[in-house]
Amino acid sequence: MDERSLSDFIDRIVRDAKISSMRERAELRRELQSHFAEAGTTPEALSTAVERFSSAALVSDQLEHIHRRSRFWAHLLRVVVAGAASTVAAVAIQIVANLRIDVQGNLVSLGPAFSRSAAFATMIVVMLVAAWELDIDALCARLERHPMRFLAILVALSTTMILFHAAIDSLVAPGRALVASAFDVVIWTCTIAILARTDRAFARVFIPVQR
Amino acid sequence: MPAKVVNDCHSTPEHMEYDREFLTGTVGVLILSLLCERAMYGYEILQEAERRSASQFLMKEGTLYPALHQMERAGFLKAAWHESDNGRARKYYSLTAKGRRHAESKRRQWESISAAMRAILGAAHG
Repeated sequence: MDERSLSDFIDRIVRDAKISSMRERAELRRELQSHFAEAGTTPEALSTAVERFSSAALVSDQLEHIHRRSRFWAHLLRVVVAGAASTVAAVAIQIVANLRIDVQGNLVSLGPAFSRSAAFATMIVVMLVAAWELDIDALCARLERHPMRFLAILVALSTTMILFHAAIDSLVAPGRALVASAFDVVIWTCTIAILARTDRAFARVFIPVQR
Repeated sequence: MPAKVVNDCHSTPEHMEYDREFLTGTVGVLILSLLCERAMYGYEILQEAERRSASQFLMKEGTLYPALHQMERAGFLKAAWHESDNGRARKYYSLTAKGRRHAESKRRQWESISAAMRAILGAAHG
C-alpha cells in the first residue's frame, strides 16, 4: 500500500463518519495520519498497519454513532433525569426527617422547618449535579467509602446551619444541627449514587457495543 | 456456535482465540486501566496492551479510536496534542477526575467478576 492509498483509506473513514464539525473532522484525520505514521512508512508496513486497523466501514460506522448530534440530547436528558431523581429522593428524605406524628390526635403533619430543609436539600442536589458535570472531584466522592470526608462534610453542614441560624437570630442546638445535617449528608450520598448510576445506565443505552 | 475470532481482537495461530462475548466491554476497561498510569496516545495504548498481554491481546486497532472518542465525549478522558522528541505530533489521552472514578469502579467490577469466575472454574475442576 502506498501513501496515496492510505490517504484514500483515511479520507473514507473521515467522510463516512459524517462528523458535522469541520474542526473535529480535521482532528480525526490528523489523529489517523499520526497513527499510521507510527506504524512505519514502507509500503509493507502500511499494508500491515491497514490490515491490523480493521475495515474503514466498521470504524466509520462506530465513529458516526458516537459523533451523532443526538448525543447532545442524550447528555441533556441524562442530566435532567439524574437531577429530577436526586431532587425527588432529597425531598422524600426531608419529608421523613420532618414528619410529625401526633399519636393522641392521630394526626400526621410536616414540621415547620420542612420547606426550608427541602429548599436547602434541593440546593445541595443542584450543587452536586453541577459539580458532577464540571468534574469537581472533591465534591463527587462516594461518601460511604470515605469516612473522613463523610465526617468533614457533616461537621461543615452542621457549622453552616448553626451560623445561618445565628445570623437570623434563631439559635439552634448543636445536637439538633448535627441530626438535621446527618439527613443532608444522606441526601448528598444518595445524590452521588444516583448520578453515578444514571451515568452508567445511559452509557449502557447510548454507548455502541464494541464489535 | 459462537464466533471464535472477534472483530475487536484478531488472533494468530500461536495465540488464543477469544469468544466475542468474553471481550465485549473489555476495551473500555483496558483503556481506562492503562491511562490510570499516564497519558498515552492511541498507538501507544495498543502497543502497551499487546506488550503486557504477551501478544495475547491484539486489538483490531481501528476500533480503539471510536472507544477513545466516546470516552472523551462522556467526560472520562481529555485529549491534547503534544510534539514528541522526533517532532511528530501525537494526540495524548489522559483521565479526568470523573474518568478516574469510573476506572476505579470498572476495576472493582472486573476483579469481582474475575474472582467469582475463578472460584467457579476452580470448583468445577475439583
